[in-house]
Amino acid sequence: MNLVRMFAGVAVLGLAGVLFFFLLGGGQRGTAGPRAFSSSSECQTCHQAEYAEWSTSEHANSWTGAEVRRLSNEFANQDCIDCHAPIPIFETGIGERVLPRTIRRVEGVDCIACHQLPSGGMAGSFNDPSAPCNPVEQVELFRPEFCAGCHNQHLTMDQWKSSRYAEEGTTCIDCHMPYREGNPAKGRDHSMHGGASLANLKRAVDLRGAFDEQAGGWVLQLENIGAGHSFPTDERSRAGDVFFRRLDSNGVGQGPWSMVHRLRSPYRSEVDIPDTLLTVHENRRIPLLDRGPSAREEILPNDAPGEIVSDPVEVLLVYKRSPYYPNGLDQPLEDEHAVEVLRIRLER
Amino acid sequence: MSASHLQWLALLVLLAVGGCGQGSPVSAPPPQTRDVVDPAIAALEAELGDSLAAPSEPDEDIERAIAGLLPFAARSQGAERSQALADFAGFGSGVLPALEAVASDHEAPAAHREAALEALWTVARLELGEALGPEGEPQLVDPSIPQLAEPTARLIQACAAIERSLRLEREPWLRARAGWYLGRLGLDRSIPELVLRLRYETDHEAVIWLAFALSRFANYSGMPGLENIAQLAAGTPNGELAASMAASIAKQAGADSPAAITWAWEHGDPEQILPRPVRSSHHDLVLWQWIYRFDEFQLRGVDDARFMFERLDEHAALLLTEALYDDSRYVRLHVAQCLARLGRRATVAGPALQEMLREPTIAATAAQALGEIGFPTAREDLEQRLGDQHNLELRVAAARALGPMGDPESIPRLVAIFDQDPASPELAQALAESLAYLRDPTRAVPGLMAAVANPLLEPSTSRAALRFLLEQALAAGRPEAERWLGDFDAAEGRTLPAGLESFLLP
Repeated sequence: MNLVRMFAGVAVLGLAGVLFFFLLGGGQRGTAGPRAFSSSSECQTCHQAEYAEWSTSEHANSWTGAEVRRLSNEFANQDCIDCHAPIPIFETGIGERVLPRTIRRVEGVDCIACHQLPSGGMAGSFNDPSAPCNPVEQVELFRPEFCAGCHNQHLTMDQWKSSRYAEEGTTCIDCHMPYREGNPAKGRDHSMHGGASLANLKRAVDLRGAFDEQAGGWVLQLENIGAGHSFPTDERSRAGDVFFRRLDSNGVGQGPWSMVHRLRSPYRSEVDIPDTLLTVHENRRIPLLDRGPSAREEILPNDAPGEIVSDPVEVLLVYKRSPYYPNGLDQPLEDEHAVEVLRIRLER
Repeated sequence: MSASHLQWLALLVLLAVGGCGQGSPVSAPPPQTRDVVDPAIAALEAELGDSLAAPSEPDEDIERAIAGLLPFAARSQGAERSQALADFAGFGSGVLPALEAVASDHEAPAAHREAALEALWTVARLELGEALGPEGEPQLVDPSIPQLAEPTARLIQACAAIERSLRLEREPWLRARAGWYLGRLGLDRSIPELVLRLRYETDHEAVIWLAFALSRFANYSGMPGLENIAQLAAGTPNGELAASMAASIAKQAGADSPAAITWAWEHGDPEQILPRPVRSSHHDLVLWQWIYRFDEFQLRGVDDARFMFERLDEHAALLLTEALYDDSRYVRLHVAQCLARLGRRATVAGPALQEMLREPTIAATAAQALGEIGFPTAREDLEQRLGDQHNLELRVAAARALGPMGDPESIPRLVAIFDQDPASPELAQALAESLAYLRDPTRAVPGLMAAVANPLLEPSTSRAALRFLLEQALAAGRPEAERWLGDFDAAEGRTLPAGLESFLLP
């Protein structure tokens, strides 16, 4: 046995004595340290409302949701894992990029990912050493930088920074984690819906149309009226699509839909797709063009030529949680990942 | 004093005694980390010196040549076109950005863009000392082409311009050309760009020429794309070109068939049939610059780097192994991921990965990588980690790694942990999966069935293990396994065909 090991042994025995003393006096609240948590389901006992809200959220579905499973090829595309099952944000650092965990992935972006502190205990909005999870007040929870590690991978925070909301101090949680029933005393809603909420989608955009005499037909206006970022904000996986179809003599929309305009950001090096997201506060004028049968079969560039439409029409804005139309472009609402956001009728 | 206090005391005394005992790899300190990436880049930049110089700005003579000579070249053919394009080599290095500007100008006539890209390639060829002449059909040459000891700055600049065209060009036919030019130029610094383009390329012809270009560097990551196109587009010109290209590449590499070369490439070439060219310092510089990107905030660069490194060779694994000791946690983790994805081509990283089992931030990923690369020396070390009571993540990773490693001597240790309370359903799942890959269905199947049904566990890995057992049954002469495989594939997610457990259990 060498001297170093002997010294180490003595040191550990000394430490044992100290801890033994500590243990003898243990059992009092506040001195045992926070309980270690290995699953978010353990939070449910004390935080039933938060857990129930989170369970319905996109965060809870970030590993098990049907769309992400399909788009990531059942996570065979391992690049998705970093954000969809991250280690605790307080461990990688506020505003820093997240890193993937290798266990508990099914729980997705869970309580532990956002609240667990590296030194033990949980980040919260107040201190309570008597609670089993030992919450420690962390104002970082309320800052946009907290969300940035994942959400600025799609530049959402950069988009927000360029908005007037940022100037006014309206941040991510003001829209995505509002107070329950508007009452600060009831705490913040943990369902954290974004595009998964139709109400949110309807608050984000407006679609109008007017007959343009000079152009000889309808011109649409698509305006980002409420999203604190681009609409949609995600590259690749999300899209917003505008369709039209003519009304018959009874004022009823007839036949297949034709695509007029697409809002989507290219996925990284998809060099042949332009970035057409509706930027924050943007009001875009879109001539309503009929591009013929092709616009019912393939996604044409927004600037593809066509004849301006002057007939009575109905116009549809669809939010897409996947950019593809497996059932055909002419039946956009038959796609399970398509949501009808707005539908307007244009008649002279 | 309560009984639990006495247990604590006993544990601490045991720890103290352990501290005096013989050291083991498990208790050794974490490996030392340092700044690896920055010095590596700095050293290569110093070594390559003048050849990394940027081109000068285009002057008036060049602007005139672009306005006059390029349209002439664009409408010429044969020797007249070759000569006109070669005339651009008579200008200073500022001609390269001027040509690149035309090649990338989407408003310019297509013929001008095509001629500008060809002019870049022509200038590069002349720098290489090649005689100009009609190109004719592309020829596959020895993929172990020696790299120039000292390529000129102009050659590197022209090559880099063509690489940018490959990355940014919207027209697929121009991307296909850029890929072909880079393959013919044969500068191995282009390998990462060619591989990365595979990630995004949707045009069949471009994929074919990317595979051709990569094969010139003894990189066969384009082969699956060729085989896909040969099947999907059978009977079309691209389908036939892909099939003949795959056959030519296999023949050139000395393999019996395209499938044989793909297998050898993906399994680390155990019979050493593939060429192993020496890589240049320019190649290494580009790789280190990609490793540097692992530290970026944006995942897009990280994801590109992970994709690219996954498709490189043993030489890249050597560089990654060095980077495993970098002081950035991000670099270390992503490097370990890349080594795992390189699989059997990264066996050279085995000792370093084994050392990283003691580095808490990447231990689990290192364990996973050791399984994927198949490093048998680490088996006992991984088996020890199965009992690590302080790090569930590492226990699960170690359990999962022992299966792919393929050594049946691990079975008793896996079974012993499995028969104890395995601490978590996730650990039980990992143990069952490894037991399946080690062909112990008796222990594995009940655990796998339970894992697939458990909503707190990811089902796909356990499904893959069950499928493996069905394939083994088929290979072992149980023809009814074929029907079971059909039923198994038809059932998705957490659903399994009824009676599967009975069939799989001996």
